[in-house]
Amino acid sequence: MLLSLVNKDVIDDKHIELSYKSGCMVCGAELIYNKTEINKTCYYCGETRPSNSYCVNNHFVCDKCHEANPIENIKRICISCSETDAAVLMQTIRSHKAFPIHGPEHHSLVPAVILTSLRNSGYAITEEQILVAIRRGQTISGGACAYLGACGAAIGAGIAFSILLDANPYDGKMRQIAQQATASVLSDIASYCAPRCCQRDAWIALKAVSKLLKKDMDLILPVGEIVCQQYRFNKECIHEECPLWVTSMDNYIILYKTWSVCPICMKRLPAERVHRGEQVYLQKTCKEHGSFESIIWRGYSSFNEWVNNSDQPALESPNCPDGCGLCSDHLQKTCCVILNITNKCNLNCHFCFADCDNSNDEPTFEEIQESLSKLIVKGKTLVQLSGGEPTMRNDLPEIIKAAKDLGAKYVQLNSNGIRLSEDKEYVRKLAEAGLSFVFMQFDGTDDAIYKSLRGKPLLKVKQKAIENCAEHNIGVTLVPTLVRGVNTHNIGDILRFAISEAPKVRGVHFQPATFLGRVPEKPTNDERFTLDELIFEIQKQTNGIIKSENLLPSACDHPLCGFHGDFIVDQNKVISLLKRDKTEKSCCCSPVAADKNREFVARRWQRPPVTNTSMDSSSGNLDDMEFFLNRVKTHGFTVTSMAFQDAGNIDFSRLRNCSLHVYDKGKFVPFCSYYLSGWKQ
Amino acid sequence: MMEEKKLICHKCQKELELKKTNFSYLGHIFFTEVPRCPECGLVFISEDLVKGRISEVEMQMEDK
Repeated sequence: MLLSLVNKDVIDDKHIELSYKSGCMVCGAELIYNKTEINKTCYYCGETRPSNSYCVNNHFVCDKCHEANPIENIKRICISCSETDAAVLMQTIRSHKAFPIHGPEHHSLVPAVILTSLRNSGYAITEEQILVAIRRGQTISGGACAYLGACGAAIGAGIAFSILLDANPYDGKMRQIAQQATASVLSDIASYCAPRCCQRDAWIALKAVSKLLKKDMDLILPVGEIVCQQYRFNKECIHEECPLWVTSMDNYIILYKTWSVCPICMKRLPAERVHRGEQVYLQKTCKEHGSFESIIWRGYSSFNEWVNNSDQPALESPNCPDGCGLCSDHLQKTCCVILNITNKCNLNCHFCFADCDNSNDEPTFEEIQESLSKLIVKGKTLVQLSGGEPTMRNDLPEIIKAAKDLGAKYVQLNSNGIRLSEDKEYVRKLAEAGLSFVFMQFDGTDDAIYKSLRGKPLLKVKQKAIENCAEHNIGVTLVPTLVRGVNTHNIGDILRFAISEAPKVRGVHFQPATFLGRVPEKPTNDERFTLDELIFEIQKQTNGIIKSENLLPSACDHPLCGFHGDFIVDQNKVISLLKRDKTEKSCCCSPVAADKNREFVARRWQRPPVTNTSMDSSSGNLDDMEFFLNRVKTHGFTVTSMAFQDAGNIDFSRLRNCSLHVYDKGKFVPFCSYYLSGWKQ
Repeated sequence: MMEEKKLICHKCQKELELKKTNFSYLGHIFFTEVPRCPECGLVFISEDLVKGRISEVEMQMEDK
């Protein structure tokens, strides 16, 4: 992509942006800017206006709707729209980003959508009546359901009846019907023993009004069903108790047909990704061992936007995973190669995908050298030395040197950091041998986490390892294994710690626990920590220092396999370099994706050579091109994640796009295929 | 070297002066000094700058 140059029109500080991009207000997709205006219909108010811009999904939002506050939006949309279903209209108005999920705006919303839907169905309702309904709704204070003993949605229904009947306090009959309507609606709302939910209460009100209008006035008010989209953001949600909650196992949409395995007998099985409510599952059935479903998306953000049609059609008869070793059906090249150099370990973790048994069975130096000579492409390869714990080997410096001598561009060490903290001389030798960077297990900022996951307190060990690596300019990326209930609450603190340790620490690479190798027991869906949940927690726990929009789907593997974010740390601030363009295709199938990804991660994880100019205490201006270029090299910082697959959630479409390969016996095997292990029944 | 030569604006016949100029790329703005005509504001972007700093910025900013 070319840099936009501001040339002849520039006047010193004035900046003219040549192209402006912003997500669609409705769906977040890319906007299209036409040179000429064409007539477009506003998604919210339904008015048709000439416009230069709309999104790739053909959404157009007029300027007035774009700027309007919630009440103004109710007015504008109700006056001009043609929607006849009151529930659809209500949700269209509520979908505006300025509309709160709870609040007294709903007191105006309910009568407004009732009257508007009736008008749009052909009944004689005037614009003034709708505006009166909105104004009357505004007189009901927030929290009326508790403080006044009558939910504003029920009173809103009464307002609609009052206007339809032209009721006044002297007219006994009309006053009676309106109040009976309010009482009936209120009775339905009050039948739930639950904290307020304005969506639920407003929908119940609409449903009740629809019945009453038919009975009392012979008017037809269509009110459709609503599938709750907001429960994740509603702390008081009553879930299964709510009429808007979708629970039926039969009620799902098949998103994609793929292949997986039976987690018990490991037989290959057809599988489906299915949408159920906001959640997405991988489901499959083994004739012998029954049905299995693993949650893969919890609905914190749009699954379809994240995956963005990245899947190739499933193979008719795949050979995965038995035939793995990069066959002709594999879609991605090698980005990073893992070489296991030992089975020994100085920990005995509850979770260990490698399930290392501490046996003395490890390859000789010569055997490792032989493997390196076969796996390395000169000037290109990023080899990860792994295990077991690779620092259990005293000849690790020689192995690193051998890899570099054979032409490996980057040598990464995957380590728990124990020896790095204890043996400075060893670290010096690793640096001298040409070690590029370290991926260090780092599960949290609290020793209780280490005791739970690793069996002993290790925080000080990790901190010392970071210091020792820094002395030799070795960049360290922190790698937390996230286990729900153990350290998923600590995500924000891990990031804050890592940022405070920049540039010694180059980033954080989150790995939600995968049920491969040694795991405490067969996982339940509640235990799984999905990518969208991780992204949500990152933004929440960092108070927005790192935003979800700055974390992009993996471009090198399948989007469901991970994400990456690229930042600069400047005076403890974190500035994002990436912005999500939800419509941009992942380049999974590009032959250069693996190469690009390798260079992307390496240029951030490797520290630049030490120069005389210390950039550690920043006083410069990041807008200064010179300063930016220096700073991004010294203080670049990544937030990345890799979600490995296990026998429960393995999806061959993801497997075919894997770029992280284990080298073993002459074969490059996708990581999740290499470590795949069955569950005990 | 380009720096040693005088650069004259073809339109205004004025000598270009080094001035802070803003560049935008992927939503970020950077400034650096480039020769600019004091009369009409036309800037001269040298090949050295394009192949050097600008392409470096591009590489650092590009997504993988």
